[in-house]
Amino acid sequence: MRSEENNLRLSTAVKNQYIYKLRANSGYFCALVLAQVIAGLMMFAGSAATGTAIDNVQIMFYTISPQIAVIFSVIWALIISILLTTHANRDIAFTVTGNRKSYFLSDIAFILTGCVFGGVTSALIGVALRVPFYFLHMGNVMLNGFYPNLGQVCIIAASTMLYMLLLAVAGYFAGTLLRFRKVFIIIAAALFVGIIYLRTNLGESQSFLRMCWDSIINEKLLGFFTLRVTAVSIVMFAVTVALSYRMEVRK
Amino acid sequence: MNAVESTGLVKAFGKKRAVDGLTVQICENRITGLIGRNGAGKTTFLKLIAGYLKPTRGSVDVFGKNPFDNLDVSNNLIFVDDGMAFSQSFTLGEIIAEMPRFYRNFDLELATKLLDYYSLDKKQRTAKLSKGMRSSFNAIIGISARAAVTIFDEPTTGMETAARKDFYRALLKEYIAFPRTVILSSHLLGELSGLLEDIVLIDSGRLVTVMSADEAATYAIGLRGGEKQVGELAGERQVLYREDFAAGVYLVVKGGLAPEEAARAQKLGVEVTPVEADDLCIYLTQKDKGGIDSALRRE
Repeated sequence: MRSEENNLRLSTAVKNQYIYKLRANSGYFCALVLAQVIAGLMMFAGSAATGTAIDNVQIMFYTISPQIAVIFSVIWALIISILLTTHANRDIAFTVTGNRKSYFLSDIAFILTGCVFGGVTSALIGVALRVPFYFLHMGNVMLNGFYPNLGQVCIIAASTMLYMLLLAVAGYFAGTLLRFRKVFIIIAAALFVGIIYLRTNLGESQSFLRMCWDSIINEKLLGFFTLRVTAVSIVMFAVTVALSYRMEVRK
Repeated sequence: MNAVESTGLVKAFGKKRAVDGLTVQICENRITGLIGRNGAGKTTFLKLIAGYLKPTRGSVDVFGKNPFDNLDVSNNLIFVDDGMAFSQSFTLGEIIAEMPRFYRNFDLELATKLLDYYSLDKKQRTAKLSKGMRSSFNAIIGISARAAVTIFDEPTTGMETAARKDFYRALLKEYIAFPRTVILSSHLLGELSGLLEDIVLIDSGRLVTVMSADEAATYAIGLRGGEKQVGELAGERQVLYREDFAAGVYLVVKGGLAPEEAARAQKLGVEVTPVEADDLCIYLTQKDKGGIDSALRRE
């Protein structure tokens, strides 16, 4: 204890906690993969087909979109981040060595890992879906768009990651608030309903809220979106950590 | 050197002070018992030492460092209580396999052997364990971690007698092989008497007394006999406990008897008995010196 070698470096503590969390929560990753497969099947069953016929030639357009997989991933990120903030998970983390700094940093690393994993698998499920599609319509697949291009897959992966991160940060923030004071459940519920209301009623109005919504959620340029999500995430994490520092380490 | 030092330590939860101005030193590489009744502030004090809680006032140091949220202190300390939590995705075997990552001196072989001894299935999960088995499992982790400061907060809750005795024995043997600072909180001092070297007695968040186990044996004596004779012998001594009988009185008084006093006691027909450490702690922390009898007495 008194010699330097017994001192623990923060990076080591974070690494230990991170690996521990990954191993402890590996089941959640399996659940995500399962959800992606289910999403894949749903997409396959529900892939929209529109057709047209010119003389004797029939043209069918199939839309293959990993949208359901993306939505599943985003919801997964929200749930995981809320679960991370529960008393049970906090007690698990503080049963072993570490402090609040290592706890938060390992949580952030865990969330980022989840986002990368979810983003990549969501994009890949869209690619994988083309395989049964190919066999189902053997030989008749002929137009462009069928063979995935790397750039497109990367964009899907990156944007999924960013949406996941945004929701994960919100979930982490909400979860921490709830632990802080139970009354925040009501505020969180009101916010949730408010956001849904905003989403459906903003329309094309030019209000400030609409601008905020557009600038974060509806951003079309990936670069800007990345910047904004990163900025929002950093701010929200900082607020969460600051709030959490008002609490004891473990009760 | 002192492993733990607290000065005027106060921890309040709202208006209630769980720890109220505690100044105490706990020596390095000794087994110290933190003894007190329910609600005496034992757990709060231990959590302050472990760095889980922030003192309201005063200070506590572990090897000269403020333990609150301190990585170095956490790295050298293990806190064993029934609030220890492990992921349900891990089996017992997997949990102990994870521990060396956090406790560099963790003895995996010892932990495995103890699991076998306590008939804990390595493939089980903690949620499936009974309360006593859970306590045994936590104790195994605490003993095997070989942390410089090892804190057990009521470690034997729910354990059967045989399991408790085995735990004390395992702890003692491991402590002799790898000395460390062990702090054990309990209200069952009787069972711990062979294990503890020092006793810190607290009540209502305040320090009652600190004594070595040897001092505890001679801290007080019991006098039984006629009220007048016992009163004469007790003189000005501090009375810790009084129990009335039909034929006389039983008084527990602070300090021992000089040889001439012992001879006088014999002459007066007063029986002199040693006071067990367990009883002593009860007498020292009793709100009313008349004990439960005074509450049951009908006027």
